[in-house]
Amino acid sequence: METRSVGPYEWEVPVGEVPGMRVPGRVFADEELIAKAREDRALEQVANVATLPGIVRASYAMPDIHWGYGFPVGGVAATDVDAGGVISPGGVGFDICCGVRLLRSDLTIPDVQEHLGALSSRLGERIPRGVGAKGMLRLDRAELAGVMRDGAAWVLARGLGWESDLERCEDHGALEGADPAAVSDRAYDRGAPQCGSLGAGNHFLEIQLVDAIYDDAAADAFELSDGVVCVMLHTGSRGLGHQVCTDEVKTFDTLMRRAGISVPDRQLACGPVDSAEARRYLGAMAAAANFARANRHALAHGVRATFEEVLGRTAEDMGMRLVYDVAHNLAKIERYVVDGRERDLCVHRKGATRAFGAGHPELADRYRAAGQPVIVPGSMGTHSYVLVGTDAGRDKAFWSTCHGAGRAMSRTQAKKRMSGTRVRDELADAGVLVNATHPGLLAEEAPYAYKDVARVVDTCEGAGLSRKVARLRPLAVIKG
Amino acid sequence: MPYRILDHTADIGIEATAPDVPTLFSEAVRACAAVILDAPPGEPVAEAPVAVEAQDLAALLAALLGEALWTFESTSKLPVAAELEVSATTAAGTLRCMETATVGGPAIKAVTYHQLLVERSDDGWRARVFFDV
Repeated sequence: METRSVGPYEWEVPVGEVPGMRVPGRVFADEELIAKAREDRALEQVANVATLPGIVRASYAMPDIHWGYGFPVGGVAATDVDAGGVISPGGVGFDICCGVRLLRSDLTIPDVQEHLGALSSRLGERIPRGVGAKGMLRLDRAELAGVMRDGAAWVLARGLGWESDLERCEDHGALEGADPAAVSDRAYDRGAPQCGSLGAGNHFLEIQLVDAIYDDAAADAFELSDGVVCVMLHTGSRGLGHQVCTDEVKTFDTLMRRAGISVPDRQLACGPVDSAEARRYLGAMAAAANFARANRHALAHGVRATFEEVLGRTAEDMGMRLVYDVAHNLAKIERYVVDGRERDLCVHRKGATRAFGAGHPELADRYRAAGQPVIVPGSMGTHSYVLVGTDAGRDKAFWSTCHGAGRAMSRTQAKKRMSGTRVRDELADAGVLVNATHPGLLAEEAPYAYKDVARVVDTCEGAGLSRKVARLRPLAVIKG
Repeated sequence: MPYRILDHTADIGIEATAPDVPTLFSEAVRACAAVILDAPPGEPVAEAPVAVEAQDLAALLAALLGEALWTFESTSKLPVAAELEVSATTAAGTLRCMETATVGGPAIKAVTYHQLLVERSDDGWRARVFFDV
């Protein structure tokens, strides 16, 4: 796959690399990251996405790009709704609204050092995690429909969490247009027992310490300062989202054939945004997204309750306020000027984070002057980052930036290099407590299986997609 | 070899071969179980009915594996083989399951259509499926 440098940190996959490309591919990467992207089939997937009907400007890839299914992970594609543009459920992915939530606190190392073991242990006990774990909330069908309609607010109304959490959440904790009736019975069955559960795989909960501030003004707006303890959690819509995507890929695969749309990979199954099937999918996707918001909201309540129990202080007293909650698997209808005309675009972000710049009208007042917080988890044992959206980001890639470090190594390769228990022991030697239900699986998520997250966020900054605000060092990791 | 595991940067795939389509689908179920267990599956001792339909054989296999995953998620019985009658657009019969299974591999979220394939080969049939993990 040919790539040519078209600017600092920008590479183009020219039209023609895959038959049917309508726009070029545009990859944000430095020399090392583009070399890594060439090692698997990620760039081919960037080119494949460029064939989607109605795609505008380019098929974008963030610096944490790697081979996914259909879309590359780190892929961003916007289609023109009024010009036959399509939506692709696979371009959102199975874990709809998978994302990251960050809680800050006034606590510092002396407050938690002696209690880290107890915190890690009690979080492991109180936060449902792992394959098949039942969630903190057991919902009947009507309650689950309420969660899908109202998102985090539904959980808040049951007394879990704080009112202030909602304004500190992308979409204020609920995506508009959710249609619980568009969700299948199977998805209801899978979601009902899982609200308030972490899951497994790369999902985690971490106690972290802010150890560097890069942007004082934005850090102030996000209530972050050097030396404070934070808690980051990464999870999504669990089996409910997986089932919605499974159902809809099948529907769109059939629709695509009927509509005469051809794509290079069936996982890119798509249909016009202006169609009954797409409206139904958008309603079901928003419902699953709201389940994910509610899931992270409930889990954050569990985190606060655990800190209260172990440290003997109230969460309010410890200042455990939300910094932000972002999604990195979602499609949204957003308005942009393209070729001199304002248009409604369906912006797919698959392993990419929305990153509004300062002044964006959709941002809550508290973030409008600084810009939207972006939370970028590292891999176990490495730093995580808080970034902020930039003005330039709008024209660079529809206000999008990276979502993590990005895998660099397959699970098989990772397991060959080191056992899971050795990974745990090495992290302990480095001062990171690891509490995992399946220590043997830790090798699959080992830090060496991922790219250098510092390089990824620096590349995002160099490319103008986002700016660094703060760096967080892991103290304890709780894995499913 | 009736099945093998395919490497992928983030996810995981399987490739199965068999002389006929029902056996191919059964081998794919076994391969899916091998991914979940991270080991060769054991002998089945339980059964679950299954019936799926789709617009072609490849989508049919994806649907069947989706049902196998759902059976595991909802009953903890892990399908390791299948006895099926398969037409161009339907598959129906029995999933044969291990009663209890110790998960040793990554959690499979879903069956993808990425590079999904069921095709004739020189000596029978071949299938390829990638899972989201």
